[in-house]
Amino acid sequence: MKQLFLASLLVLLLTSNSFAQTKVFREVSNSISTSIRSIVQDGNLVGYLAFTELERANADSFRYKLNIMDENLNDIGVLNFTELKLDLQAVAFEGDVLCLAYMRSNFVGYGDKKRRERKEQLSNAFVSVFTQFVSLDGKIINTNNVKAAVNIMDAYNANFWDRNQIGHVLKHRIQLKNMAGKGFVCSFGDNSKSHLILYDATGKSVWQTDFTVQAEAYTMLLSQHDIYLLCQKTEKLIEGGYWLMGYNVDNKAAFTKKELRDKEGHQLSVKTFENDPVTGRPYLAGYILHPRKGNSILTVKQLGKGPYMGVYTMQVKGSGTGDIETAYSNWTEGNMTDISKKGRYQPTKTFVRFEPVFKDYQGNTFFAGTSYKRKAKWGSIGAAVVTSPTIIVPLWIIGIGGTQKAQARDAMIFKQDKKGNFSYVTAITTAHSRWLPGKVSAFNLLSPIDYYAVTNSDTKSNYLILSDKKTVNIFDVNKQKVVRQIPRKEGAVTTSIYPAKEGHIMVSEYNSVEKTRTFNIEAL
Amino acid sequence: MSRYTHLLTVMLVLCCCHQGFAQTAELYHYQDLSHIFYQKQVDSIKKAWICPAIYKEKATQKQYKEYWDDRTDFLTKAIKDDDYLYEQDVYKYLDSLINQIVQANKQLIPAKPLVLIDRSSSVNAYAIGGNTLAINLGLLTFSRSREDLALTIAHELSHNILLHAENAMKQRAEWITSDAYKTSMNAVLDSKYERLTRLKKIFEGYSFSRSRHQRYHESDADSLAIILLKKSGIHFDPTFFLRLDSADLQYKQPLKQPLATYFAAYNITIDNAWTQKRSKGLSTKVYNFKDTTSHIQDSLKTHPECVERYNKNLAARDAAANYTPIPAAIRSKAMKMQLWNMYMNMNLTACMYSIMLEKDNGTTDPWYDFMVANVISGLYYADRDLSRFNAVGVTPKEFISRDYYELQTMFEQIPREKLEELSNSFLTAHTASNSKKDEAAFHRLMKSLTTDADISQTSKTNIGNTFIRGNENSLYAEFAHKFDKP
Repeated sequence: MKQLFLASLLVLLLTSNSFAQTKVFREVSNSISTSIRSIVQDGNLVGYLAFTELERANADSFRYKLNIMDENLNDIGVLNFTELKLDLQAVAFEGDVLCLAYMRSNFVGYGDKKRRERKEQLSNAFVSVFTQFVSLDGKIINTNNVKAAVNIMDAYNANFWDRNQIGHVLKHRIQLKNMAGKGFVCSFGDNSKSHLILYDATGKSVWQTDFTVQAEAYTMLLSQHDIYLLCQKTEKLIEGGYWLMGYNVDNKAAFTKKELRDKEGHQLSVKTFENDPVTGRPYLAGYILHPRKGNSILTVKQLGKGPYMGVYTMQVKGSGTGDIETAYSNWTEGNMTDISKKGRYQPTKTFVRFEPVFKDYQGNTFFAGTSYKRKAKWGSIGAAVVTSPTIIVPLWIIGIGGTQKAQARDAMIFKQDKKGNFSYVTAITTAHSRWLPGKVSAFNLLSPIDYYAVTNSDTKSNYLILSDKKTVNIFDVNKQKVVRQIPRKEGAVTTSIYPAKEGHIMVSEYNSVEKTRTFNIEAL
Repeated sequence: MSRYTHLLTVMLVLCCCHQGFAQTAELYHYQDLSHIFYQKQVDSIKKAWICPAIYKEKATQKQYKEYWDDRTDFLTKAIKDDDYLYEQDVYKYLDSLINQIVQANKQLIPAKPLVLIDRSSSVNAYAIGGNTLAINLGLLTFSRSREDLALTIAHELSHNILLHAENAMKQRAEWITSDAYKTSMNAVLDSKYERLTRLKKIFEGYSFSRSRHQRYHESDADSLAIILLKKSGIHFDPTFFLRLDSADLQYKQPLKQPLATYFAAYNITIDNAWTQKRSKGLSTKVYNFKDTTSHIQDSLKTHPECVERYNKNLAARDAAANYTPIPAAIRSKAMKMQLWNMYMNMNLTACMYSIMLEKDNGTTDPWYDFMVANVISGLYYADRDLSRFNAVGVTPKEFISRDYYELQTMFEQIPREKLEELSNSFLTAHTASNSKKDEAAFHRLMKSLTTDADISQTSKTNIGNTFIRGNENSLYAEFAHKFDKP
């Protein structure tokens, strides 16, 4: 990161040296692009990487620079290399080797091409997935190139506004993760199939398979020597249509496909798909979807109709999908004293829309989210009644303003234990939103709270970071209280929270007046 | 006779008063910071430093003026930002040295230069032309002898005599507005490939012949410095060039005792878990990116060719020379000012480590204990302000000693509750034992900053103002004034 600042400083210094030739510096600096990725190992952030395209070296290739930083943002190395057009997609770390997965092409990302040029080059053109293995002494120890079955012209045309990038031309994005003791697993899907490749830590492909999924998206999660794939195909319900599948890399066997439904066949949404902090086995958690009302999920008014029937936690107990234990908490059964059959929390008369869901070290699942209050608009209703003889006016009043209004209120946290008992934990005071008419009470207009869950395996503790426009609250899940409150600085300073090394958060402060950004990596 | 007795009494009283003042005000006053002390100089510099009209070409003259004004802005901004200070004893010491060189070389140095004490801990001094030079506190604490200092000062005076800064501005202006430059820049735009490489090449060529530390400039300044010193009767010690090579390695110097011993003196027991790195990150790995390492080393050195300079000037050495050590009182003041500046910049690990190194040198001055309390409470204050990471200033293990690494790991990992406890106990103990009014008041300020529930800017400003009332002359008022700004 520091190197990036230095790089931009270099550009600025160069610029300040000339009054007549600023165009040169502007043009050169405009063609330099940088993307920053976090380096992750076993789900922990271990460093950062900045990938910079410096310049076009010749007709075919570009010069690139990799700045590798440790978890404290200190530079540990720079690597320069020349390659065809690359677009960095994912980074992982295992066995003291960094694995970087790129999109690579000899045709897409080279700027606008004339018709004749396209015709000449099209026969040899390709888009591929390129994996690069870098050791910690700054050497590229191996590379692999897997051509992707994509329509080259479609890929070229996909970047109509910026033909200098490859962009997202695959059907399923590249996913790359480390498998402890084994190496790296890379997965992506092209027009014909999805690929799953296991590389050892030296970059040698040791196993690969392909599969066909009729899914709109899938997410890969590695657990011990298992590869889990959570697939989704939206049919009737926007948040449903999930199934779980996967492979074991030792016996190369595929897991039985497991559809995500409850005992009654209700579809399940997935809010989290991670490894349990204690067992290291995957768990999934989310809502039980109402088969008829399950798509009423865009506004507070719709939330009041009861699109969700309850919540669940599905814990994978062993290798594969055969041994799974699920805890359901279904409020439509009417056995929860505090929660109505439509999911309203009765003591505060609010609906909660859960966003982060995470497990603690005691096996409980925590559901946190912003609470929303609905109220009747008595003013509009009264005005409509008074003006009812005019017929047109009340229709206009009700039609425009509606009869309900909604407001985002405090964040609320609920807990589901192993047996499926669902209980209220606490509320955290956060900035309330303004009241909006029920019809337009879309959550993105109402909820100004950002959530971020952090774990610390050393202290076996979980934290939830809640940041609204005024305060950043750090909630200690074990102690069940807010342990720190950081007021956001007044004036031109914008505070943002980003992921950091385990048990830490990165606090970024941007001063819009001084145009400066500071980073702090703080322990929780 | 009685009149004389009366006069003598008055003089004695005045002398006693002065002595008392000197004892209480060991370092400098808040008003000695450059934004106040050199306020008048800022105006006079702005008036005096008028760019001369030397070019007929309008573009070249305009560019030259731009550089000239940049230099003026650099100096006036540094003064306003309190990059400099005035401390009577240190200034007098430097002044006497400079006077000796100036008096002996009147033909070359017709007017005494404006000398500024830069608060930086970097081992450096610099001439910026306009008969102005700045000497860093870091150089004062690094130099072993008066001759070491004299060599550096003479070297910087030589830069001024040889008009290196002025000539560099002229050369840059001429180059930037030259046809050759314009042609080469246009060639960059015309090229489809390797634009950055071409641009870099243009500037590398430029830097090689015109940079601030270009080799022949340094060599010329060394040669003239030796002449200036000879004329002044000051011995020349070329081994200083070699010592400069280790100037950036101060934090590689190990402590004489285990880290725990330094804290045990304050009845603090260090938990091993604080000093053992728990991170799973890349910082704990063995890495060796050769190109990066060499880049960092080079960038840290202001004069990378130290050995070459030593060999070149060895012959000018006076074999029978005796070198005069820098007075302990001067070095001590410079060190204290440097430490306070580190604290002001919230560079807390470096500050604490420097204190420990001073303790290794045998200091028993209670001021260092006052600073230990400040560092611990400052760390807790930074933690409350969500900036502990920046206050620790995590440095990669390659550039620091094992002890420094342990200390920074401890500062990073010490649990918040324990840090709060330590901060409170330090501040309570030292506020009670502090004889100096402003030091006690400063600890009260830190206590408020670290214990008040309200951590808003308004609250901090009020706490700062409470300190300033009654301690407006104290050097520690600088910390309190930080909260004036929104």
